[in-house]
Amino acid sequence: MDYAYEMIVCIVNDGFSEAVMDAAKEFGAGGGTVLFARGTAPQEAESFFKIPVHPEKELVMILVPRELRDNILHALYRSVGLKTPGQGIAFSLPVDSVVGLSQPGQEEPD
Amino acid sequence: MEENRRKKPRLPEPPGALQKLKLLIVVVNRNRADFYTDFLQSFEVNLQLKMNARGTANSELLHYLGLEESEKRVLFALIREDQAAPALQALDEKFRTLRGGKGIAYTVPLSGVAGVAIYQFLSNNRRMAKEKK
Repeated sequence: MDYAYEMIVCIVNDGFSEAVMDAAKEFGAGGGTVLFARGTAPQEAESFFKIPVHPEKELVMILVPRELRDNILHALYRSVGLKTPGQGIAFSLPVDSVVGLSQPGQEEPD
Repeated sequence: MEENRRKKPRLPEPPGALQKLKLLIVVVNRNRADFYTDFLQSFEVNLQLKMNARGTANSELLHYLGLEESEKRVLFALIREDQAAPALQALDEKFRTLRGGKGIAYTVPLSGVAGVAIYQFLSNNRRMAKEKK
């Protein structure tokens, strides 16, 4: 199923949400919403993969037109991916309907 | 016969087939979040999760969107598929008309739910739950 919009979710270490938005904006994203979260991972998996999990996380949700999705996901992988200090993972979910998005230049009621 | 029919408790009409659920995500200013929580309950939403967040749009874009305040609250609500469109339409109207009530809302389809009772609760299917009893 092809939808017009996708929600990109990127989970990064605390303090990297700006880096996420910088990367996403470079490829056309408008704005995002940052939520604070705590991450968990099994101790054994952390040592096996040599990826220590910092519990403090930021979760960034970005609503984007579908055409921008792949470029933004690649940009996030490069700039805040697992092999960077941001240790981010990013994925996208289909969004089947949206309301409240304003077009730039559109008159807003007072 | 007429009397018997009248005595039966009136339950909301169940949807014809089992309805799918959607995750409704609403991002609004913090001071209006409680209003939207109550508002969504009128669309048979039984479970909502609220959390604090902040917006990242730059000031120029915020101005365009009318979302000057960056302190946000995100509502995650599970809603039955047939209620999603009316809820979004009503939310859109509130976003346009309510002072300080601008925001965005969108839905993500769910592909599964664990447990019949949970499904009944989330879809507000009271008749199905009552029949099971």
